[in-house]
Amino acid sequence: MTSGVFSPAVQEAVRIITACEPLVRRVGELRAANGAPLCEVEFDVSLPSRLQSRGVGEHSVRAFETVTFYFGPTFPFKPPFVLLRDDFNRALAHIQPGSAAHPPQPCLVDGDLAEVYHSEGLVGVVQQVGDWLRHAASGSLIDPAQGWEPVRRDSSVHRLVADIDELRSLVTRGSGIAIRRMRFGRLQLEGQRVYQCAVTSDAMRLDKDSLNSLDARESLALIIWAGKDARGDELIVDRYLPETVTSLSDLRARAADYKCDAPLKDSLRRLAELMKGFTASMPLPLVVVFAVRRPFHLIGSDSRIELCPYLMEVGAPAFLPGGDGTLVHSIAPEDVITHTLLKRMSGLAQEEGSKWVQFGAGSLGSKVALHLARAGCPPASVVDRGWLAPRNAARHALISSGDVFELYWRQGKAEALANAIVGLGGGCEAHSVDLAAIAVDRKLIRKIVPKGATFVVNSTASLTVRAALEACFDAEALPPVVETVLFAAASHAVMSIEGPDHNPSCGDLITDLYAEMVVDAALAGAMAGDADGVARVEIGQGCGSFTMTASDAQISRFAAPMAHVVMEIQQQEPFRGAEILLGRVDDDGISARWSRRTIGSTHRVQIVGEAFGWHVRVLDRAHQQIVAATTEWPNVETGGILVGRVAHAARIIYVADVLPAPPDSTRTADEFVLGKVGAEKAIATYHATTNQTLYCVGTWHSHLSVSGPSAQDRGVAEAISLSRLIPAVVLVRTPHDYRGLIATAKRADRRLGAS
Amino acid sequence: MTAKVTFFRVDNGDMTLVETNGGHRILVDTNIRDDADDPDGKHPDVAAQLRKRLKRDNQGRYYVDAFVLSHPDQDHCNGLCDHFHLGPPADFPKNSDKILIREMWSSERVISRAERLKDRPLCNDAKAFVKEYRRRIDLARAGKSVGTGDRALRIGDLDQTDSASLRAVSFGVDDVIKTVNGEEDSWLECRVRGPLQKGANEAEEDLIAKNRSSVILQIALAAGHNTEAVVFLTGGDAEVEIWKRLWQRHKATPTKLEYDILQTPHHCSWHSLSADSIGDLGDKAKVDPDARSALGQARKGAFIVASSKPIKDDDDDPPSHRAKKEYEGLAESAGGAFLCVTEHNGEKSEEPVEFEVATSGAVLVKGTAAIAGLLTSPGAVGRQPLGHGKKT
Repeated sequence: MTSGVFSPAVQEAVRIITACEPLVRRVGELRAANGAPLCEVEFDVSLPSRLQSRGVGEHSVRAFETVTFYFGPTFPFKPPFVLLRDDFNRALAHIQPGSAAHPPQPCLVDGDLAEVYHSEGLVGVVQQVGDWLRHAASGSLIDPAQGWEPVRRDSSVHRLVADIDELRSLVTRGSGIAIRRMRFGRLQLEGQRVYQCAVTSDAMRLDKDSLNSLDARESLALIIWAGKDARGDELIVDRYLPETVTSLSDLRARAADYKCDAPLKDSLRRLAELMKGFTASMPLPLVVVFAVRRPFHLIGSDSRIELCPYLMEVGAPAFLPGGDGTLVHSIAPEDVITHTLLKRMSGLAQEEGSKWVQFGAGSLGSKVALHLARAGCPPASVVDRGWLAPRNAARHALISSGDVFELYWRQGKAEALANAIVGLGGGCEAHSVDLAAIAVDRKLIRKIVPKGATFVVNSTASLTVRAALEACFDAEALPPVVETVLFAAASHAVMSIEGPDHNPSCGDLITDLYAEMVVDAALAGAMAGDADGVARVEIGQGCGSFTMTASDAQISRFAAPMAHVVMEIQQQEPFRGAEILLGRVDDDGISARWSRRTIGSTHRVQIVGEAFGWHVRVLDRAHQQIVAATTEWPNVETGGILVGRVAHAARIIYVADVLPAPPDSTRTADEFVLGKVGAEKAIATYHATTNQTLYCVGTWHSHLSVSGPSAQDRGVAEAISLSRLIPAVVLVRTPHDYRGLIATAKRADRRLGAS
Repeated sequence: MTAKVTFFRVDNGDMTLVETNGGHRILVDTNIRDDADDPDGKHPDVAAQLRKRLKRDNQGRYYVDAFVLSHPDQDHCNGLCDHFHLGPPADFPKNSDKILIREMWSSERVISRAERLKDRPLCNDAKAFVKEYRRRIDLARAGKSVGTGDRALRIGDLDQTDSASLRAVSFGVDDVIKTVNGEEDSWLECRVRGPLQKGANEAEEDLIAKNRSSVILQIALAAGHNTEAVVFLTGGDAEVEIWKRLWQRHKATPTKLEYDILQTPHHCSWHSLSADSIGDLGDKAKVDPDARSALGQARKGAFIVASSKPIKDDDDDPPSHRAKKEYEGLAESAGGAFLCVTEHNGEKSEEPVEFEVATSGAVLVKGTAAIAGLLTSPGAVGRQPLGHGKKT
């Protein structure tokens, strides 16, 4: 075959390889073997300085190494195969496992060489081969920073899954053996019995009772580790041994290499004795795992313990009829789903993080909870009294199985979500509970919120649930609430995070968000209800009770960053909170922008006289203005109009904001008389700007000394009349705190005077 | 990580990064010239090449664990003000790409000798270094507990009359430094070989000063079980009288001057090997046998590296063609090799010369320069980012 018959791509490749001087010394003639083009490439391998004179580096790597590049049928979409000379030392880390009948193949990258090829080109592949040879020649293929290369054993047809971290944690300083119950499946594949094994966390003993407790699909896994060396230090195996075990005698020799031979011998002898009392119609898989300490951590792991599992078939009553010639297969251990694994994949620290609870398992709640569960930090419990229904298929994070009977998809939402979370490792409780009830039955909180939980995520988007939660601002059993809610056809997202001890509370925070509409016209515009018009506003802003129309993708756009923030909170210690996060979609319809505001503490008002069960909470926004006004008028009483909202169910008056005193107000050292000029208009404008969410809730004035409402103030309270049939507050700011009088709706009904 | 010694292409100047298997990065001198960070400039972008090899701390600041100033000449501290943060670490500018020097290593003795030479005033970078170095030494002198970015070591300045806190950061000749920025590094031993101690009289001090007194370190880097895997000898611009005296001191224990990598002093200057003037004596100029012995303790297969401009067969000095011939002879007798940083992989290459530290010696990394050239030349293979930020 002449070069003329090779594809232009192959010919170009050879030209590129040839140009890679001085790393590439010489490139042989392009030729074909078994129909595939190949060329031999001689690399100039840098040897360590003190080995230069002998021309051979560590592991017999030569100063000039010939490597064969095979161009397969998929070239140039896949990189060429790179093979070393037949007699290249195979006892090296980073050599692909394979038969001695084939030339050894270097493991060039921790990943897919094809990706390097498409990222860095053929030159990158040549460079990688050069680096590999140089590191082989200097005995540094294992890079301590990258980690210990586990023995390559990925060619096995058998499978073994286990909680790898848990098995590693069994290893003690002294030598030892642990026996675990192992479940297995057996199938026939191309005339060979193939096993799928799962090591459980069920500890077993080598006795008759233990063996009797195994069912037909169960067997044992032996985990064996070495103890200390002659100097009393933990025994570390720093020699890389390629995987060559194929028989029981090989396994015994390998056990000796790992100083695990005595426990292996003892346990096999004990099992042989025990099995004489049993009869098995089919061979059983027995798994032996050597847990080997390495000098440094393994690649992709913090642990320096390498698990080296082997599988062999045993029988009963004859335990090992094949004796030392019994076939033994090396198998690669695979992780089960554990929080440790999920955290590692998510790039999170392995710290436990705090315990938390998910309220609401609808489309947003399920996404937030599953994002966290997939990162190894799931909620300890899920609370929702709803049922999955076919309409949930549009946006819920869970999906129906596709089974015809599943098309109805009727299952409790909390249970379904908790099941999915359990499937991601660990436990999760489900509670089908009406959350509104917690406001009247606080014992219920202890039932649904596990002890030690540091926060609750409320994704119900339910005004009813929010009303119940805001009423619980003094409930010790309820940890701080993080509310996640979407607005305006999922074009806006809000996260309100309560402060410690519910200060600010979820009620304070949503009230503050309403007040923000005064300064944030875009927010006000969106909240006004675009396509849905006035009706939507009247039913409340939220996506839950009256579900909004939005696609799964639109909800996910905000669910992911919300989950990210919840994860931050979950990892942070101690809980800080007291924030409002507002997300919105940009005009391009794609970009999302978030802003984050810290909210100061709310001041609770001491009610003087009859409170009628009402609480008054002065938000930091209003407080700052009141403080500013009293600072401006230090020697006379001053005051103004309070705006906010009244939570009827929770009996809370929120003071969100302050309107300045009308210009005809009078201030003296003894009294402040609120004027009327422009007041009504100012209140109406505020009411309109905040989309009717906030309104006048009373008046405030300062006292120059620490004193409660005066007789005059009581008169004012009596005289107060508001445009609505709601209670109002006469708030007094003393130099140190707030005191208040409640003017009930009944009195307001007398319509004495004007606000 | 793999321990490395990297020589940047800075012509007649020094800029060498030592990375240990313990994870510390020590920069010996710096010569980032004005256009070195200008893509259109004629010098390689050594500032970018350096940053590529550095890590950022938890505040996002690039850092070197230690910066060694061998002596305060311009070609050993160029770019210090522009590329490194000088001053208290709390004043580190926000969002800056400057490099934080966690610990400074230098010598008050070398600095004061340089200040004696009235015909060679200190450049601005050197003055800034001296100011910052003295700020840090004053903190140590005052016995204050100092942290990262305030630390400094005094090399060759051990004086028993100093306060205990000052002695704690001072290392005399033949002392061994095993900590970097207050952290022990079992993969590193820096043995102090210079500067020479105070001369017996003024004339002797003048002579040492004129011979470009420098910090001289024999840096042993460990790999695997070998604590002496690669020994790197670096001595700034020290000239013949200094090497003569070092040989006199150590000829009974020549291992104290051994190396697997030697950075030829003063950019392959003839006057590190000889007091004779080639201009006056021509071929009759002789190499000083003691200086040659001091610089000739090559271990098997050692590399002798000239951080200089390409060495032409002419009368320039440094780099000196005669000196190159001497070093080639030394390298050859050890079965090693001589190389000039700016000639390695061709004069057009911009990549630094890199040695990896293996248990059996120094491994010269080949090929990156030519391949990097290929990647940027038109019509060759380009690059594209891996999806999902995949690591290979």
